[in-house]
Amino acid sequence: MSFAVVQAGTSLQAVDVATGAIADITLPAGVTIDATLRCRFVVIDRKIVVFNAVSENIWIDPITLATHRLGIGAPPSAPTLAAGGGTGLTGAYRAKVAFGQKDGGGAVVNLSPLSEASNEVTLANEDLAVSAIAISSNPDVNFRRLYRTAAGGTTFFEWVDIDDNVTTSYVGSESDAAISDLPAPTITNAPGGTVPGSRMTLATAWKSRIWGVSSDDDEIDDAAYTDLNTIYAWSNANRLPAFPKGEDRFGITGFIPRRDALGLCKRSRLLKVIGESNDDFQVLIVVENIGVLASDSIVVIRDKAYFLWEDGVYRWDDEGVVCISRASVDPWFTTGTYFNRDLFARAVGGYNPFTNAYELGLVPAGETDLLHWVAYNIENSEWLGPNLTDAFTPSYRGLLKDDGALLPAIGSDDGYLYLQNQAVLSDVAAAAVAIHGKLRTRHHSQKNPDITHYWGRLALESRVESGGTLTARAYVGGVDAAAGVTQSFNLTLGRQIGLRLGVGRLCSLEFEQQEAGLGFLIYGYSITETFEVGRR
Amino acid sequence: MPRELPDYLVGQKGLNLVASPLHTPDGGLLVAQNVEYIRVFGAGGIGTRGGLARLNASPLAGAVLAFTYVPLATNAFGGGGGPATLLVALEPGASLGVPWIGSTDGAAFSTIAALTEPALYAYWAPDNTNEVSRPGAVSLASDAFYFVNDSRQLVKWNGATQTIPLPAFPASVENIYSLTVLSGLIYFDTHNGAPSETVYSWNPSTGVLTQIGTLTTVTGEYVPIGTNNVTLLIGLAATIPAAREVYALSGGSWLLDHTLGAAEIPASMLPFGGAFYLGTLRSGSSGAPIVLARSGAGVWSTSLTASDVDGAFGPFVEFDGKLFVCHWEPSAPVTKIYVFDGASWTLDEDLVSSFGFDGTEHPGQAVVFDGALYWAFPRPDDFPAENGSLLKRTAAGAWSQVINNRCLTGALGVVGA
Repeated sequence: MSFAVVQAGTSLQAVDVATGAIADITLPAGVTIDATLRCRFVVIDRKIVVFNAVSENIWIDPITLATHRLGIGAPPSAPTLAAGGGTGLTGAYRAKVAFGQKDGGGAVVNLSPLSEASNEVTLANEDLAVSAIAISSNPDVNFRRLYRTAAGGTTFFEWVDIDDNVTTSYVGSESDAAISDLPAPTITNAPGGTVPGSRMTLATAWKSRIWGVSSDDDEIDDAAYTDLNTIYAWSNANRLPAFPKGEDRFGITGFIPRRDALGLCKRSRLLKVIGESNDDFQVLIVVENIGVLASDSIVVIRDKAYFLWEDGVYRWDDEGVVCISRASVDPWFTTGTYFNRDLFARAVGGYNPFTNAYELGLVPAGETDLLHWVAYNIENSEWLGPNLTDAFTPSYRGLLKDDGALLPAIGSDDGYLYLQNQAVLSDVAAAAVAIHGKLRTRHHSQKNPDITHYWGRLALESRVESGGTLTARAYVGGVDAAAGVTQSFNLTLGRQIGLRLGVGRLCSLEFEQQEAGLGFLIYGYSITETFEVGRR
Repeated sequence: MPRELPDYLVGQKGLNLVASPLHTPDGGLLVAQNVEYIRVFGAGGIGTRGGLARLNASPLAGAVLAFTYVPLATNAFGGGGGPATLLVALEPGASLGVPWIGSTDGAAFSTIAALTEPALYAYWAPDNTNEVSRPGAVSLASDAFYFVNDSRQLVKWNGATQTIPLPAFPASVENIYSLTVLSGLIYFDTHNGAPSETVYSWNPSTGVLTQIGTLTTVTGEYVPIGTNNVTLLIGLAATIPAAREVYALSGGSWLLDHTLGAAEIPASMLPFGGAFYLGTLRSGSSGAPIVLARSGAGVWSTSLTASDVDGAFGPFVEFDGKLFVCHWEPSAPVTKIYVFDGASWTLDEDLVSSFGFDGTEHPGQAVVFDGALYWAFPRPDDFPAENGSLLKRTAAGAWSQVINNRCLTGALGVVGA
């Protein structure tokens, strides 16, 4: 049964996508959520990992919704070694210990950094006695892992697991050949969010790793990542800088996880990580003087990324980075007439698979909430909007899934998830509230905008509806023409021919309907008997 | 009350001609509020958007600041209170034992004693008559597991077996075939032995059976149903002559959405990533089968062409955020699993070389259970021999054989998830 994890104010809750049922998610003791920040979720390795808005990073078991701290502090003290009473080992040895958590099947799900090294003990056909094995105060810790060197060595290898958080001693005589061949991991805690005060401001999954950015000033330009298929194995070696470091106070402003590259976004440049592992990861510049302003505006659709920058919406794909708003709706993003440009950083993007459109929620000019949104139809490269959401205050966008189908959804300030692509043509709050549908065509010129035209009768082809009327207004004259002929079309008829529209250089039409439970679908229209005045 | 939007700029792409601008690429709009492009069924235009429906009936604890979809199983919503069980249907022949076995760990299987209703064969297969074999099917609804039994009746299982007492179909001999679930309703098609098909929905909550549109009589025998929660699609495959058509439900009527190529027959469907994917069947050395993609805007295109001729693509299954499909051709033999990551297809496993398949293993149903993909490969031609296989694929990409030499029907299910 698939579900959604939702940050609802200062709480985390799960919502059944099929039924809408809600289940509370209890945070670990002492962990809180800041309602002024957005949680960053990553689902990987059958775990849900939560960053940023939480005071400490946590992960959620999807089966039970139990929560656990992601960061387990390193053992505060090193174990103590001595010769035991048995036989078997000869040479100099040292050991370390780590705290860990295993699931019910015995698989390791979390592991702390290693302790400091123990004292060195030299054995002569003796066994190795470990004492003072640290005990964790973290209630999630249910085993400790001991690491030790081979005789005379300096590399620590996995030795043995103590499957409790109680025992403080162990005696073993496993030969050097019998212990693991793999060196101990160089685990650190996540660079942000392990302790209160720092945060992992951004997080995403790419190439089976978690990638994140710390809020610490000296780390905001570094992309940190885990080892393959783990949520806990961060290390100092797993970091890539989005150069140049220190160029602004924002650092990395977004991740773009494409198939073969991870975009590292900054305010004024876009870089990418390519490669598969530490052996071949590289950071390359994609473009400069273009960046990402709003991390939540980033949406990747079939390996093409869409995002908002200061002067418009850009697309990054294999052909490069292009502005897709400049040619047609540039003033939306370059003037303050339509949207509150000071709050561009709050913009939230989404993908609607039914209309094959990138949708972007924006704050209208003079307002502070995401009440407007625009849509970019990928199929025909057309923009529609600005649309107005009036029934509630949108706060977030994303995709859900039910039985395999993608369900674009909008989160709201009133605590509801609203599903898009509904057939009911009434507002959600009450069935009797109409949705205000309005569209305005471009200015027609008959290819000669300087010549006065006679604009004849308007012929409308539309879907046959069960009822309703569509109002059509003509704007004839210059681009500043006032509304002229206004007429109503009966939407039960399919095709109608209306009134003559008037005389002027240009002609634009506005169609409008606002009737509860009724809608319209315009297949096309034409203006009959149109000619240049004096040249009929 | 809705408020007025501010005035708008002067036109997208400048000035334009006058005629019929709404559904041509060059005829874009100036501005549009609360309308969207609707470009399906060949009658596209611009129409009103629907309202938004609340998913949760009661409000959450605060403003929704972020959310993520989790494609994993949870017990948080009372899914039986215990571990999920993987159900595997067996052919209950005279000496072959019980019809269902189950496992809570995907490794050790035991008899499901209370589940005595045998399942219809559930496999995808072309045969020598240029026909797609009918798949019996199982499906999951929110409250129980449903499957088609050996008598082609709809059966519900939630710890006890219940044969759904469906009202009489127009033709008394109609039988149920493939199932799909959409918004809590179970959709299925029926076939009465004559060349006609009818699609119905059944509401488990109310027991209401509803006929979905009326299909023109076509020489067809098999209707795979696919849905993306917005559009319900069916494909008609036929004996001879082939009706190579895909229909979409629009306004209560089935409309021809796409006609396949001359040698292509629809074999299976699944929505994935906002598009539909349809596998085709080819036979008689007529070429390689293909996978077609139908975009959210209703545009069809070829997504994958098999590297081997003949055979069929099917079934599809989504797992680990990827789309899997089997290409099976018995005579070559070919049994290859392809995987689509949203951008490109790759060969995931060749079961002939990996597991020694010889072409008699028909691709049956596949389900996701406990974080892994389980895929049944029955050998119906060998009944009562017990040579079917159940394969497992982990998220890491490792294939293994979980069951071998059992007489599978190809039907699988998961309960309690």
